[in-house]
Amino acid sequence: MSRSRAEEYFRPSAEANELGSKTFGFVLALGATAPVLALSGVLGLADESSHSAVMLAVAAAFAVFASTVLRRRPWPSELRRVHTLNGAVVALATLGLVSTMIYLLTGAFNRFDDALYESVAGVSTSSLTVLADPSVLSDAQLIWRSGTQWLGGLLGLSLGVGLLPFLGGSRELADPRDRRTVSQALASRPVAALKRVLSIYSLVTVVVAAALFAAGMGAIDGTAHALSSVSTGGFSTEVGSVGSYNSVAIELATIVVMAGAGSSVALVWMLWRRQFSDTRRSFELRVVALVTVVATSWVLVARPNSGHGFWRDLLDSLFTVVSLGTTTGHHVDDWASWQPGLVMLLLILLAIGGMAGSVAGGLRWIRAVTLVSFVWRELQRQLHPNSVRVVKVGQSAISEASVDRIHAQLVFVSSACACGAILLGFAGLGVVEALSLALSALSTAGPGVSDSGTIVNASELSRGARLVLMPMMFAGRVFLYPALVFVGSLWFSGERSISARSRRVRPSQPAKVRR
Amino acid sequence: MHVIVVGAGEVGTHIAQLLSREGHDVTVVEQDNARVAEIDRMLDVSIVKGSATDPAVMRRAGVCDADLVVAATSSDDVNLVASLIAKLEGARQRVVRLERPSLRLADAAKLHEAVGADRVIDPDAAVAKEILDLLSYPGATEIAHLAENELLMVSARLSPTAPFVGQRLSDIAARLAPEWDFIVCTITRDGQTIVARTDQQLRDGDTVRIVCKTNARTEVMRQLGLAAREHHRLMILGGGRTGEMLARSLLAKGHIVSIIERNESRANELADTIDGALVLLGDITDGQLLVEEDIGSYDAVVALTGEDDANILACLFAKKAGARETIAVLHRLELRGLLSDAGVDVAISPRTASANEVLRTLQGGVSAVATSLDDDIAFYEVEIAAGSKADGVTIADLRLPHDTLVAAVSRDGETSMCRGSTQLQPGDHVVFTAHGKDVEHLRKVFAKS
Repeated sequence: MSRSRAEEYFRPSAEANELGSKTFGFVLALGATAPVLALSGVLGLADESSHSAVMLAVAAAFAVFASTVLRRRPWPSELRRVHTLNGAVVALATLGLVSTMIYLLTGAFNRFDDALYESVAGVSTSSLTVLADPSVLSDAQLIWRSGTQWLGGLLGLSLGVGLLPFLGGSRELADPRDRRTVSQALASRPVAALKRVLSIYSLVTVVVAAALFAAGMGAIDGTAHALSSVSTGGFSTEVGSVGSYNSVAIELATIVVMAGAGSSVALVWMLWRRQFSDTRRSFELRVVALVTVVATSWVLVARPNSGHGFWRDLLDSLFTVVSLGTTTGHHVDDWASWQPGLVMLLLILLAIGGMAGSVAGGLRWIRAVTLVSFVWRELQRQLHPNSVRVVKVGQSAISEASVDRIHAQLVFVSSACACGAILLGFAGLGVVEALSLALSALSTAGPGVSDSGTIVNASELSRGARLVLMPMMFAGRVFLYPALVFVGSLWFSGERSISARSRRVRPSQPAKVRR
Repeated sequence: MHVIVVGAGEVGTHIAQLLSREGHDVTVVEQDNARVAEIDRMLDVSIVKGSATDPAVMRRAGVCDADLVVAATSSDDVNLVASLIAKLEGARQRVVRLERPSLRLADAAKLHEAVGADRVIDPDAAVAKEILDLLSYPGATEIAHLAENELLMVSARLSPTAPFVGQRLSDIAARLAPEWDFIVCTITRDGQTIVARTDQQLRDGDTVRIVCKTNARTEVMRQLGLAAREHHRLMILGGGRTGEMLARSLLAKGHIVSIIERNESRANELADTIDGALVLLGDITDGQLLVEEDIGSYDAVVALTGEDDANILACLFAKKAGARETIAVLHRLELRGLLSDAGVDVAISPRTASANEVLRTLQGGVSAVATSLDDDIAFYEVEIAAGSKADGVTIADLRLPHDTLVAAVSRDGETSMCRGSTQLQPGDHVVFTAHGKDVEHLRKVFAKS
């Protein structure tokens, strides 16, 4: 590389005054926190606690700070993959720390580690809470707890749909129809895509809150459940989660919301635009629909008889499958006590998670199908060494580079799961509990299965176990790779050296963000 | 009729040869000197040297009063322009060879109309269809659908176990009387093809061509000693355009298909675009590969590469390994006669399928529907014209040329095999077999002169 090229690569951001990606992530996280804090404060005014005042004050301070900084300092003019990932990790960490501060300021938790754990569980959209009884929190705190999940979901969605596809990320893996929609229907530029994602996400949240209110939930419960359901967070204001309401309407509404949240945003966009035929052609959607039908049927047949009749059992079975399949974590039954085969099925659904381009965590179905196609190809190669086979998902051929990335991700997930399970075992958990919690944390679902066959709550876990779960949930929320890249960039003394490497292997100029 | 054939490649030359043999006034337009010299030496046709995209050249060929222009070069663009010129200059009918799928789909109908293409042909597609037909009738060496699929022409080599072997045609006819569902039309023995006579006895090794009612095909196949079981596992050697089309059709019918392709990027393309086929990278003459893939376990092996030698070698290898049927596409036909003895069951040429398509376009009463590479005896279809010599006359009284056999007649949707006593009526569709040289005379008999 010539000296001038090298200098160009190692040069600081194009504009000296420009915000760095990490600073930008920090400021943006504070700015995004402000409206959610304000909402929590406003809705909490009714219960006459002092929490609302604290939240409204902090919200105002964040809003002023963020707007001032963003007005005075230009945004990063160039979008680079590594910078974006680092910015996202910083934003998520900021959200977690801000949430910890709010919990401590409002007295939700007395201990820093409890507040930090609950915050990480919130922003990573995990339903594994240390609160044995959420009703001890004030209305404002409950909304804020759900709001952290909403913010975590928004960040995941922005990263997965709004930014990475434009930086040569997982776009290739999207269904062709989705890919077209992400790039053309959603937007052709990152900033426009981000705005559209934010609009859809916010609008859907409002609609869901109204629907849950209409179905019989109170305003606080409805808002909290809307925030935690559209983000596949799964936090509930009730100990028994959605099952506490014993309402068919609420269950149905929640199923629809969870299914929507576990679906690709592009598909939701197509449905919104009434492009039904395009939606039907999505291969991943068909796979998910088939798996949901089969799994629900299996659960319905093999689950213990609840005595509520066939239709109610069917609804509850569907609820459980959709909730775990989308890594949401709401529950209406104590599914962990069911037949071990069923529990394993549900844990596998939880590990695979939702569709590509959705809020849900997990490996994603498109990747699972790709891996199956890859295994089939390798089996064929054993039989026919000269065979030429392309890894395909539906009608789309998957490039070898994408297949390699999926393998790397699978290895990373498996390794992280194994290490986490080992550490959880050292922290005193049994084999089943450690494995299920490790899997659940990485998928950002939350619920685990105890060795005695009950759904595990984090309040029952030791502090050591929670310490192990926190980085796993965090990594799961930012799609694992960014976490790894972030750690890598620290290891290689700063992101610049990594970005230089990444630019060397990416000859084309990355997309630019324009305001 | 005055016919202009544009392009003297494999397809164009064969079409010119057939039309010339039938007595048509044929002009070939070709710009390659070597090809011009070869055509001049081989065929009794007029030749105009030059590009068919030049109106002046086409005018020199007599496009203004041409009855038919066949644009048969290997370039779609040239063929389209030639057809357009022919249309503008007043040629009555135009047949255009087009290979690009986008130019052949229904969406391209407006383009066909604009350039005046009355019929579009594609040699690759025609070969694929011909092979598909052959694979539907295991053991048959030729298949043609006649009289709007009411009749079938089947050609097959008689095996020693075939029920027909040792029987006189008169005995077969007597046994099946009064209703015949099929008729033996030609017999090829020791390289000579003759129109069948009742006193002839069928022998082991004879190749017979039979016209039968389509719904009687199973019985005919049994009498010919052909396998009743359809092929299921098929191997295609060569993943070119024909191979791809054939593979898609076979997969759609539920067959198991493997393709061997030598070119890596093409193999990748096939693996990407054809779902369900096993695509193998390698040379079709690589014995180790063929053994590894157990080529002998396939029901049929079809060699479709552009190299005749490789096609023949691979088919011989497959036959020896145990494949039930082998089909080879050949471009050079000198050794064709030896192949069936050696182990290649069927040898077909891209030129015949296309030629049949062109000949079907010819109007004037008689149109050929099935020609053979082995001889000049072809099958024709004709509609009896009112006032023609055949109107109201029995076949026996028509005094048809020697080696002409009227096989079947289709009247008001009913198809029946013909005898000497069958009286022809206007509107009847008659299927007959005859030498190409007699077609002009037969046209005058069946159609109004």
